[in-house]
Amino acid sequence: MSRERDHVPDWEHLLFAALLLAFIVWYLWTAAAASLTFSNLILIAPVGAVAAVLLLYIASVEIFGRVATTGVSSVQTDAAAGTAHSRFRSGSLATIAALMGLFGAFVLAIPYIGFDVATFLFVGATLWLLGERHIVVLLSLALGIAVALSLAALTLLTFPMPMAVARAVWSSL
Amino acid sequence: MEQPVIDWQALQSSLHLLGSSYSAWLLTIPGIALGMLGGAIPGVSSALILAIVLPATLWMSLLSSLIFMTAIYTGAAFGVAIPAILMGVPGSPAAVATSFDGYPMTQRGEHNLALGLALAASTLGHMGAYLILFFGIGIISHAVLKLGPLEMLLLMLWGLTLIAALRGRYVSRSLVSGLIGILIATIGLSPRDVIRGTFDLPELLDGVPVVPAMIGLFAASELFNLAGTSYLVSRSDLRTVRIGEIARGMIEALRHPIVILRGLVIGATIGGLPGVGAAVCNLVSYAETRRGDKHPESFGKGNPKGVIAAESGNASSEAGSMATLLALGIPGGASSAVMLAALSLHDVTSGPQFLDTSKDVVYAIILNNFVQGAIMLALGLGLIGLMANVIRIPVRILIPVILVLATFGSYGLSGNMAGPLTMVVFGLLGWLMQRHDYSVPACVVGLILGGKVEANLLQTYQISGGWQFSYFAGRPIAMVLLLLLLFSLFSRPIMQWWKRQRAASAAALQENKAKSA
Repeated sequence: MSRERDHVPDWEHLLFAALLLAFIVWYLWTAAAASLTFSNLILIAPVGAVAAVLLLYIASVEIFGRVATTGVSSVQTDAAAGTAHSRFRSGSLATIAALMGLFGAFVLAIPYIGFDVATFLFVGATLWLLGERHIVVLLSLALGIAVALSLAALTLLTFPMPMAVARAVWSSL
Repeated sequence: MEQPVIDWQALQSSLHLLGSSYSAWLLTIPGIALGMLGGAIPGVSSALILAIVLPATLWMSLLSSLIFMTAIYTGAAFGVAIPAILMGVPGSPAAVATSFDGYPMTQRGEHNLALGLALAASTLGHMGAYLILFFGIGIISHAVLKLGPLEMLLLMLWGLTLIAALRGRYVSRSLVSGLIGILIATIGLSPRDVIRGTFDLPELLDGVPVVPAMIGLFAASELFNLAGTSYLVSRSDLRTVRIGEIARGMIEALRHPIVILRGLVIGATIGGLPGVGAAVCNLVSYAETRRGDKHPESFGKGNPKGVIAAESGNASSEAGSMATLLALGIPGGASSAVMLAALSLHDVTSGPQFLDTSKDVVYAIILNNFVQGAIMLALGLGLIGLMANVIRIPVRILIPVILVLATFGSYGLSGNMAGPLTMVVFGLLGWLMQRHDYSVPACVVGLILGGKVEANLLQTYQISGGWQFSYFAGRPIAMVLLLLLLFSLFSRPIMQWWKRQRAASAAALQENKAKSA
């Protein structure tokens, strides 16, 4: 058994693992501060501790490299890994980041500009981002989806969804 | 008192229920069609479709809503096989093993045959497993009453560890995912009225909204990954459909009853274990069929038996997870977790009490599911052409439509912006987890079971008088469950160690022989 040669740590993964670890430490700290009793910490203390130890192990493997093993287990793990990864075909990171940004902005904007207008803008902008350049298709799809879902929200949901124009139009009909 | 296998009075009452509930029947066909169409889109799981339609079930009776949801579940179980066979991309993890032999069949131009095999295996697996449930539900309802908080705790832990052990690329990362899911599930007001990790937000006092979080983790993260790709299917010749060939595939599936039987028994039993979804049944059924076959090397190269085994395994897991959901009140997977939410929307708590008092509803669901199998067969034949067209829709249109639908669904569930905001946060978390190979399903199962694990752990602690050994020794079911749990955790590494030892000794023996020769 030997350490993998030419190992380069995945710093992005390390940052993610550090964020998970920070969440665990923060959560355990606030829970213990709220009540330092056995019944309050009966589950979260051991779960948090094991998760923290595992994350430290994961981080150490990421930094120092995995101990290379041979035999049945490594072959099976590699085969399983290949299968799991072949499921996903990923786009460019910039496109994914922009899509996430648009989606976050869409949800945050709903209380301010209404679900109807936000849906129209989000669908239109996402179609543009993902490569739809035919303006008639883009606008008609965005409008169609916004109208259909606003109508569904007005008629199906018991809780009033914030709307800019759809509710006024619906009640005037 | 001896519990009858079939409660005839409840069965009669269920027939009356079904006969008088037209809406339940009217919802069956659109439910199956919706499930098939949604399942055929990679990234859209049955859990997501169920979560989207969940608010609509408020307007339905309890029976209608459960039948509508099981119909979606049934349709999706077959729908996910279509992209798995046509392009080697499973519609969900539940069809991973389907793609192993289905896609090589497509590459050989036998995609119609493979689709027929999958349709017949799904239908037979589904109906057979519900038959097991029909005869077994009485026994289950009797047995589950013997389960205390300790046994429930062990079952939940088993579900969690199985998922963590089987799902991920790295076991350690999968375990972290499950443990983080458990921690997130305990946010809010604890069983001992302690407020934990709410960021002083009153919306989090009831805990993190589970279904929007689940939609975010599963759907949003997968859809983000698809951004930038143009079409799910690029080769148009893969979408030609010949009904005659599909029918030939269906007949071919009937020639392998043992494979179907093995799949449905695995699906009905493993699918019934809490926290173990259709994905595991799909893989275990495939692995067992491959191991028991005379020519295991032909698997992965387009062996029809591989498609049959995988599909009968995942389709039959629905009945197993329904048994656990109805009899124990524990979701077998993400889809049944949404069904649990549907039950709570109707102020119903599933579990031993529900099974005892509402056996007629349970029988009605089972009987309707027999019919669902027949409807799926007919609809599947007719809709395969249409479903191929769904896959023709460009990804750039699918992504915004599904994200907006999911936002709509999560707002409908929470009644305020907490639902959609939770979905965004968990969508980002899910994408990061997937990017770094942290198992998203393990996190979801932790999220679903975490609260219950804590409550049962506390109850066990109190009942056992602070971990008194005599309490544990007097609970034989718990001991058996503990042994099974330990077996599932350690059997694989022990077997691998034993195989390595055997291989090493065989190699040494050969070396010695060679030397002496």
